[in-house]
Order: sequence, then C-alpha cells, then structure tokens
Amino acid sequence: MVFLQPEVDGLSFEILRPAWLFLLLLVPLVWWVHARSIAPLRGRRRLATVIIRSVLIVLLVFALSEPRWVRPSDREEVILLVDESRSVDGKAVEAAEKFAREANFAGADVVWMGFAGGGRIFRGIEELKKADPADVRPAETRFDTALSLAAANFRPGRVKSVVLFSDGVATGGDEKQFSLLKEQAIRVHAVPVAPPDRPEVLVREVNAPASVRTNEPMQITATVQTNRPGPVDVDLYRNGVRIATRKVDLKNGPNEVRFEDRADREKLLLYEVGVRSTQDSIAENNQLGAAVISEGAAKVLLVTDRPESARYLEWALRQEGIELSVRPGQGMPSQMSDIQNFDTLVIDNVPASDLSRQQMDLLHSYVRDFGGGLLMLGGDQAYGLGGYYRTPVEEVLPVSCDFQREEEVPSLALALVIDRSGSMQGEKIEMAKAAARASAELLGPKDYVSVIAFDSGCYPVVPLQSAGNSSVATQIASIEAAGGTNMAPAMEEALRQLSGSSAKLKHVILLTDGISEQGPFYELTNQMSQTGITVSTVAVGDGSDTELLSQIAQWGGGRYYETNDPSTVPQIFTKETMTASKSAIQEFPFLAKPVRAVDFLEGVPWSDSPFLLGYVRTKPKPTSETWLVTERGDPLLTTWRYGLGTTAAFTSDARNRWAVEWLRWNGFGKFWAQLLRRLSRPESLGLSEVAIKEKDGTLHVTVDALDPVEGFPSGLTGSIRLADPDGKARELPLEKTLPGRWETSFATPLKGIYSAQMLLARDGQPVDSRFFTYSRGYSKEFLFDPPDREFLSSLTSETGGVIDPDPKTVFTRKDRRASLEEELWPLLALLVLAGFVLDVAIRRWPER
Amino acid sequence: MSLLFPAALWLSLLGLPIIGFYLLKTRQRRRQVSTLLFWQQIKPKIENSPLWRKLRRWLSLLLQLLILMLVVLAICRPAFDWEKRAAQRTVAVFDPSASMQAADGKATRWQTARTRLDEAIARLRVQDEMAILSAENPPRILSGWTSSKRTLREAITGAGELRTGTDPRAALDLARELTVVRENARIEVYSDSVWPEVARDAVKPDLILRGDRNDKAVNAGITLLAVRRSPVSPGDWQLDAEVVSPVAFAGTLEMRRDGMPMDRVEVKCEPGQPWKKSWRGSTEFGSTFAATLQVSAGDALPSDNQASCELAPLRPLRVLLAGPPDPYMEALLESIPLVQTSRVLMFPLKAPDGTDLIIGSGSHGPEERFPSTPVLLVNPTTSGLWGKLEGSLKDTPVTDLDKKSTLVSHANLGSVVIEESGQWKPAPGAKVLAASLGNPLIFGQWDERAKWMVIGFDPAKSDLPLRTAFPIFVSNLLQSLRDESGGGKAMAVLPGRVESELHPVAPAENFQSMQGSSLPVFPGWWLVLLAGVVVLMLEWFFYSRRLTD
Repeated sequence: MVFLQPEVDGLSFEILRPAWLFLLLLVPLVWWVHARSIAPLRGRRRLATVIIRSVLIVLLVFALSEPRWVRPSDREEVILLVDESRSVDGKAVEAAEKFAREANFAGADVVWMGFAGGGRIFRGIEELKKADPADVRPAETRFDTALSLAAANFRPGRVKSVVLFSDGVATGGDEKQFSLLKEQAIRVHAVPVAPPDRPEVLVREVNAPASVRTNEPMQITATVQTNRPGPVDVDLYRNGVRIATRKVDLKNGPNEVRFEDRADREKLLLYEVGVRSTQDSIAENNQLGAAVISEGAAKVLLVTDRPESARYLEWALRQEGIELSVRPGQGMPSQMSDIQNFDTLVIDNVPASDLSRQQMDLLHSYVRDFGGGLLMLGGDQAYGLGGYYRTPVEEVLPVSCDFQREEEVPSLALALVIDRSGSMQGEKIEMAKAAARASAELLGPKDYVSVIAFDSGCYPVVPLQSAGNSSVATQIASIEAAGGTNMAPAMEEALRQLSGSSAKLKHVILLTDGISEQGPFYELTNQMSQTGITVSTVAVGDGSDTELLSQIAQWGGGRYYETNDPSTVPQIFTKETMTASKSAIQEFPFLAKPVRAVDFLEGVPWSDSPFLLGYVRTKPKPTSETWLVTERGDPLLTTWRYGLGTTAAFTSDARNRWAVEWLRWNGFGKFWAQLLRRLSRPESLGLSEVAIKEKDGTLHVTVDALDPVEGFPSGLTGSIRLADPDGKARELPLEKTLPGRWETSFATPLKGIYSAQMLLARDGQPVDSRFFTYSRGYSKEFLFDPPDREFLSSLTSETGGVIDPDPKTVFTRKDRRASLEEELWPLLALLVLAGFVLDVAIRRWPER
Repeated sequence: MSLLFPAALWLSLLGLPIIGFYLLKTRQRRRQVSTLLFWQQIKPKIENSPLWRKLRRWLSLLLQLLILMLVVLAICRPAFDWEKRAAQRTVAVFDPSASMQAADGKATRWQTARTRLDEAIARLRVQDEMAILSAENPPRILSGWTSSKRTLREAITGAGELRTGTDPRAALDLARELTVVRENARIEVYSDSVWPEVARDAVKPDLILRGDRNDKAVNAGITLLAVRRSPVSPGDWQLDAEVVSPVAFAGTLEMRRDGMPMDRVEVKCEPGQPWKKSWRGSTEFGSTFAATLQVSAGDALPSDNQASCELAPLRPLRVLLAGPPDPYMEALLESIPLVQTSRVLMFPLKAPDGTDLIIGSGSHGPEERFPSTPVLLVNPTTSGLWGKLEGSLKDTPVTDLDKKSTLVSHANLGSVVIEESGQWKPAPGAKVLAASLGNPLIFGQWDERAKWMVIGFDPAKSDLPLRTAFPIFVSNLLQSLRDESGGGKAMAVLPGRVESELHPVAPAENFQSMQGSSLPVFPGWWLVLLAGVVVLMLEWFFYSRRLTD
C-alpha cells in the first residue's frame, strides 16, 4: 500500500497494486511509435492525438493499480439493539418501536438487532416482533456478546451508533469489552426499559451457614420479595422433604423469613426455600437453595438384605460414637447428593441384581472421585455369589469376585440354554452372549460348559466340553438372533449332554424373553432333577412366560430370575455359576488371624476373638493389603486405596449367621468402629482453607494451605473433583499461584448443587482434602429488578452517548466523521471513455 | 458471466458518435491540373489494391468499438464463471498468546500466522467478507465483517501479543455468534493450539486450524516465581520458583534480590515434572526478586526465561482502643510488631481513616450498627448487637475450641480457666471459636461480610496472662486484617505452564494448509481493463503504420 498524499484535509489516497505502475513505460512507447508514424494527420491534430493517447494510457494504468480515496464521511449507521431476554419480556421491543417511529434518523442507515444470551439481525421491526426469543437464550443477558456482534456488523466507512433498549441487568459477560467500543468509535445510547408490571413474588436470597456441627442449631434466613403485598406460604425443604411451612404477610419489597433447624444424621443438608402465592406470574424464581455441611461424628450407611439383622452392629457402633443409618437394598442411594451424606457405605449381602447400573456407577464415583469409603460384608449374595463379577463395584473392591477353584472341589458341568429368537435381537442377544462368556470364564479347567441356542429349532453352539477350551468364546460369539421360540428341544439336548457328563455337579441355566411353543417341560425338568441336574431360569422382558419359567425353576430345584434390564443378565449368569459351583462359600468354624500390626486393628482383643462360622472365598487384587486371614490362609479382611477413597472386603458377615459368636465378643464394636473410621472419607487435617467466589456464572476457587511447622507447604499438587448438579463428574487441576495458594475457576451454568472434593497431594499421596458445595440459583433474569441505570449510564458515558436520548435530535448532531474508502478506478475509466471519444473525433473529423 | 453494475451499459451509446465519425467523408474539392498522366498510371493500382486496404477504415472502427466495449464492460463489473462461486465469509480467530512467540525455525509462530492471514486477505474477492477476532480474554473484535482488504490489514496491525496464555473458548463462541448473521460463514483459527486442557472440548473435528502442529518444540521455562508473607508471622516470607520442560533439561537458575546475586542453583527437569524450589527469609521491608534461567540454544520461547516479583513492605496496623485504660491489653498490643495503638474514651461511630481494628471494652461498644472497621469487644458488660448476656459463669474452663479456624491456630486456649465470664447467647450468624461446656466464650463473625469478635470475659481475670495463647490469638486476629496486597506479594506475568510446555491440544487432523493458489486474485473488471490497454496500444500501432485508416 502506498499513501500518496496522507491526510490532506482529512483525505488520503492509497494504491493497492502499485507494482502495475510499471505499465507507465508504455507512454514513452506511444511517443516512439508516434515519431515513426506515417499516419496522414498533420500539425496540431497530430500532436493532440498523441497527447490524448498518452493521457488515456496513464489513466488506464492508474486504474489498474487500484487507487483508493479515503475521505471523511458523516454518513451514519445506527443499530437498534433490542433486549429480548426474560427480564424485560417484550417491553424493550415496544420501546424500540416507539423510538423508531419518532426518530429523525437524518439519512442514517438503520439496522435492527435483537439479543439476550446470543444475538441476531432482523430486516425490520416486524421481523423482530415475529421472532421467537427462544433462539437467543432468553434466560441470559450478555451485553458483551451483543455489543461485540453489533460492532462486527457495522459497514466500513460509517459513523457508528448503537441505541440499546434494555434494563441493563446482565447475567454474565465481561465489562472490559466496553472500553473496546470507545476504541472503535462506537457511540452507545441507552433507553432504560423497566420489566412489565405484573404480580410477582420470588425468593431472592437464602442464607445458611456453610457448615455446622451435629446437633448444633442453625438459622436459615430467606429474603422473599414481592410487588403485591399480601399473604403467602413459605416452605422449607431439607434434602427434598418439606420440614416447615410459615404463613407470612408480605410487605412490598424484600421480606426476611427465618427458619431454625439442626443437623442430625445427614452430612450434606440441601435446604430449599419455596414460596407459594396466588399473586405470582413466574414460577422459575419461587425456589432457591443453600447447602450446609454437617461436621462431627462419622456417618455410615448400611445397605442390607435384612435390616432387622443390622441391629447388633448398629448398637455396637453407636457405643463407639458412629451413627449408622440402615436401609434395605432398594434404599441404595441413586443421587450424588444422597450418598454424599455418608463417609462410608457398607453393602451387606445385597446382590448386584438389586442395584441399577447407575447406582453402581455412582458408588464407583463416590469412592474414586469423592473419597468415600466402601465395605462389602460376606454372605450368600456377596461378591461373585451376588453377581458382582465385572461390575463397577468389583472394580473398587480390593478383591476379585471370581476365584480359583480348589483341586478337591467337585467339578461342574454347566449348560447354558439361550433363546436366539428374533425378539432377542439387539442388546438382549449381546448381553446373553456376554453372560455366557463370563460364566465360562468363571469355570475351572476341570469344569465343563455347553451352550445351546434355540429358536424354533435347537442349535448346540458349544457342545459339552472342557471350560478351559480357548475356542468357547469364539463359538459363543457366532450366535445370532432369528426365528421363533421353542424351548423343549433345547432342554432335551441339555439333558442329553449333561447326562453323559462325569461332572459331579450339573446345572442348567435357561434364558428366554418370549413364550415358548408347547412342550413336555415338566417331564423334562423332572428327568433332569432325577439325574441330579438342577435348573435355573431367567426371564428377560415383559413378553416372557414368567409363570412357566418360575415353575421350571421350582421343579428343577434352581432359582428363578426376572429382569427388564438386559444389562443385568451377565450378573445373573455369573451369580448362578458361582452358586452352582458351591465352592465360593466355606462354612466351618475358624478363628480370624491378624497378618500384621496396623493402627486400625490395635486395641482389638484378638486373643479373645471367638469363632466365625463361614466366609466367602475371594482373591485379593495385586496391590491390596490383607490384614486378617482365615486358618486356611484365605483373606478375611482386605483393604486398598482406590482413587481418593479406601475400600475393604470382609468376607465373613456381621450378623447372627456366621458372626453369631462375635456378637457377644467385647471387641466386636471396637473392631467395626475402627475399621469404619479407617475407611471414612478423610476429614481435612486443617492444613487448607477453601474460599469460593461466584461472579457472572463462574465460580472461582482459592485454596490456601499453611502447615503449623513447615509454613507454606512445598511439593504439593492440587486438584478438584467436581460433580455438576446433573451428576457428571470431572477433574480440574488447581494452579499454584503463590506459595501455599492454588486457584481454579469453572463455569456454573446449571441450576442446583455443585459438589466438589479438593485434594492436595505430595508424590501422589493425599495430604489434605476438603469437601465443599456451591448452590447455583435461578438466573438473574427472573429477579425482575428495576433497570440498572448506573450500568447503562457508565456504558453510555464511556462511549459518548446519552441515556434516554431524544429521538428527534440524537442523530442530527453530525459531530463525528468516519473514514470512507472509495474506489477511484471507475472514475478513471469514465475519463478514459471521454478522452477516447475525443481522440476519435480529432482523428476522424474531416479536414477543410 | 454476469454484470454486477449493468446500468453502465448505457455508456455503450458512446459508440454512436464514434460510428458517426467514421461515416463522415471528406468533401472533395475540384482542382485544375496540368496533366492526368500520373492518375492514369496509378488508377489500375488503386482499382486492383487488396481487400484489406479497402477495409482499413472498418478495421479501425472495429478496433475503436472494441476499446469502447472493453472499458464499458469493466465499468459494468463483470463476474466470470470462475468468480461466481458463492461468496465466502470467514471469521479469522487470531491467537495472540505467549506460545505464538515460540520460534519454529527462523520465524516465530506469530509471524507465520500473520503471513498466512495476509495471504488469506489477499485472496479475498469482491464478494467475499472476513471478520477478525483476537482470542484474548475477553475476545476482541479486530475487524467486523468487511470486504475491504485495507481495513482487514489495518486490523491485523492492531493485534497485540499477550505475555500469557489464552483460553480460546470464549473467542470461538463469539466467532460462532458472528457466523449466525452471515450465510455460509466458517471459522478459521490462526493458532498453534497450545491451550489449557479444559479447552480440548472446543476442538471439534470441523475446527480449521491454520498453523503448524509442532509437538516437538524444545523449551524450558519458568512457570512460577511468586513471593508471599506468612499470614501467621508477616515478617517471614517465602519465595517459590518452578521450572518445566517437555524434555529432560539441565540448566542453571540465577536468583537476584534487589539487583544483588542471591542464589545460583542447578535445575534438573524430568519431562512433564516441574522442578521446584523455595527460599525463605524475614524482613519488614520490601524487596524485588528476579530469576534468570540459563538455557541452551534452540530454546523455543524466550519470554519464560526471566521472571521477577516484588515483596511489598509491611505496614503498621493501627489499633484504636475505646474505653478506660487496660494495661494488659496495651502491653499485649505493644508486644506485637508493627502495631500502632491510640486511645479514645468513647466507642466511635466511625473510626478515623486508616484504622484497622477498634478494641472496645466493658460497656464501650457499637450501639446501632457495627462500623465498617473490624471490631473486637473484650468483656462487654451489656447485651448488644453482638448477643444477649444471660448470666455469668465462674471458674469455668475452656473445653471446646474450633481448631479449624485460623484465628485460634497455634493459640492453645484449651484448659484455660476463666475466673469470671458472661453467659452469652451470640447474635445470629456468629460462630463460636471457644466455649466452656457449651457456653460461648469467644464468638463472632469474621468473614468478608462482617468482622466483629467478642471475648466474653476479662482476660486479665484468668490464667491467660501466664500463657502465650491470648497474645497469639490477638496476633492472629490482627494479621488476618493484612490484605494480600498490603502484606506484600506481586507475581510476574509469566506465560504459565501450558504455554511453556508448548503442547498442542488439537490433533494433526485439524491443522490444514491454505487451499488454492497463493497467486494474487484479479477481479474481472481488472482483466478487462488490461485487455483494453493492450487493444489501445495495438490500435495506436496499426494507425501509426497506416494498417488502419
């Protein structure tokens, strides 16, 4: 670019392709040709034509170099920026329409733009009025985005003005953007818009202490605001349960309503205050919450198949100062906010089939991400017998739920009879194949397995063979779904195969999702039973013949299972396999033998410990630690660290079956209390403090750590495990910003409770951790505050605009100029045309 | 071909006078001559001349009309088929972060990105538009939608380099908003994608990155140099430094304090594991620390090889004592360094400017509301804003302490026996720091919203004067009033670990080179005008040699 004459009276020229000016060398060529010309023109006409031709060449060459002329212009472009968010609810559109009707735009170009969380351009007010605000996220207001979009859409060379129709209430965004408007010479005027006047009552704020001790009274104070005085009902909820209601006569404006409560068993208390009124327009702002953490005694949840049998343990632990909550299997927590109430979770003989996949994933995250403790007790529905093989719960346990079968254990011949009819297509057949593979893997080399698929016919997929045969899995994978349903031939085949087997134990597992053709089921099952073959059945889905299958299991001396979730089929099969093999449970009196000294077993009188009467055989995982063993050396108590948490497997039980003698032992309570304390989520050692600040939808977390001896601790790394209100967990690194300080930020777009576990570690070992929560309420859009004139005023004054501009005069001032860039080549081309015609005229005009 | 300004076709009417000029004939004049011999000799030659000689006039006319049409066509702005592809609209997101200063070869990534963006601008056609954003925090629009190359080039000139890293997500969100208001708009990012891990979600398969992915860059850099005073003992300071390198690195770090050499240490970094070191000292004055990392040639990013930070001097805390003389408290305050005390008889409604703490005793306390200055009330004898006095306790030990509170850290108040104390019910919102069998002894609110604390007994009437616990408690209270900026720390603006490690977040598939030729693009009118120049010169030559008439 070449500036030929910069800034002369505000004008400047520039040439975009200066290299092409070399074509000016054609001018001397024109004169050279002229000097040798034999054209008939003479005298002044000859001279005139060469001069004109030279001028034409010069004009064309300059046109080819693309000259531009930058001149000042006062032509204005006005963007009418209209707030479409919920807080103004259409009033801004009305204000803008009125303004546009009255305005004297003085020749300016007018552009209509709407915004809320995003922005868009309209061809006119009519299009804006018809548009759906949902397209621009009306529950937000982002001035930075809106003004940036406006700035980006001005045409070059125009004087830029924006008229903003809004209440000035932002839900997010960065005000640093506004100084950039001044840099870009954009003048912003503002027309404050008040929200519509309609009856509204809302909960504006809820204050509660961040933490309390157990049984400590606390106050929960709510600010309830209304523009229509009158009676309302104000409810207080704790963890989703309404615990108090007040009838309050509200005055106009904010009103304080107080509640008192105490923390008892629960660790995490989610309080919500809700208001009910007949004079209310918007529901989104009628509830607001706060989270309170109850500190004090460790809280343990026991989920058990028989709650009544937990009373021994409950009593013993209470003596040791541990609160035990007891729930049946169906009471397993399915929300993070529920499970976070407890420091440790104990699973007592609850089979995996009683838990959903989501619950098992929740348990997994609770241990790994949030440092919760998990203990599984032994029983006939525990570990592999409970179907926990290859589940998220098995992942966190320190033992495997499969096991090595002993040499002297009777061999098992297992026939898996699987429905492959058309209705099994999709997830069902895949889960059935996975279940068959898992069952085969659990068997030992001395066991036998057979897989028989059936539809209208019968197909021995895996003829009875050693379970150690490596081709079993490949053969199972070949099963595909198609056809009808006829169980009898497949049962006959299973009977034939197992009858010929030398295995001591013989078992059939029959799985179907449909109704079979008629057949001699009773006869076949009876025959099986008489030859020592037991039969269990699994009904998948609503279309199965549950009555028949239940009867077959009864006739066959087996178990009947019913499930609507195909993903539980593998667990059922593995549970069945382990139960049938009869080798997992060891029932004989034995004494618990400590392997080595450890702090949480200190003080327990092992020398006096009575017999335990049974346990489940398990296999400890490689990095776990076994603290107690049976007399045969099998693990009795094993622990390990998984993620942030610690888990344990106790393979006997704590009830009046195998531990009937332990219940009378004076070490019973101490043992369980010390073990549970060891597993409990680590309390903070007091090394660190966590401070949180929220601004515009972003939460900023600051962690300060100070060691009383060391001062600012060195060599630590920090992280936060964060769970969103919808339960999704993620890890965020903490960045060290000062000695002893770490910081991070994250967005909080969802309404609800954010739970987080902060961890400081040295060389991978936890040093301190803190649990904290943040309650995100509804968007500021629903506060319906009066217009923020202060914000609008600072925005306009920073950019040279005014509040409430007079539409008739605001655009007539013309006190600004913009640089308008115009191409010059068309003008040059027109001059070429004129000169050209003159040239032809001079040459062709007849001589006198 | 189509015409963007067809109204200019009216100019082709200028052809009419040109044709008219060719139709004009020279009037022949009669002259008397002496002989017709010469005419008779050349008459056969003229009658037998070639056809082109006879058509010279019409050839000339044709050339003149051709020139006219070429110029008129240029003014009409023709759009040829190869130009008639749909207008391209591009939002160029420019990454100004510190990692762009890294040198890959001779040029820095910043210079390479600028060059590529220049090329993209040069290739813009008349109907194309571009907008340019700078991926700062918050993102900055350098140029709105325009087809003016001049405006776009000026916009890039205005792009500034950052000394720190950047998170591109906000810029990408804004870029997406910009594309909503233009059809067929797309986003191109001029960056090396050295972004924080949280930005990985923003890297979608259709994200176009106009840069070079280099995950082998070698760079060792200082990622932290910060100094901070101890909140417990503000005279003590600690200085932390961290160095990272994506490959094994051995070097030296020189540390200077107030310009004088302070330390020189060997740095050994394992890949991805930061090297860390701390220095400690004690001073009430300020200091400036500067660190220089000696690196080998080939270090990609120079801006992280030096860092500095400042320790602010300690300022004295001003304490106002309200009420009658209290020798114990005065002696206690005198023993705490950098504390200046003054006394007034009555509790003030508003403390003098610069007061950090008001200590009231006995009946001297705020009446209507707590002032904005922090307040410590010692042994108040009446109920008030702080709580209700319900009775008294005698010879009562401290049995409960909130050990998690930093105010009581190191203050061993346990088992202290209080001769006489009030029996208090604290105001709502107050936290109890120390209690005796459930009766609050020390309580208050000491957080961002309010700072007031009550010692519900006379410390002199206990065994506290024989212990260090109470002075430590009061010292903790005072030190908590030192804000971070006053207590001293300043951090150098370093690129940060993400930038120093120079690890690109986006996979190789997202990086694309520019498509199409890098030759300049000429618009249709320009080519037509050039043709006009050629024909003009040809016509001149033919006319001069009388090849045309």
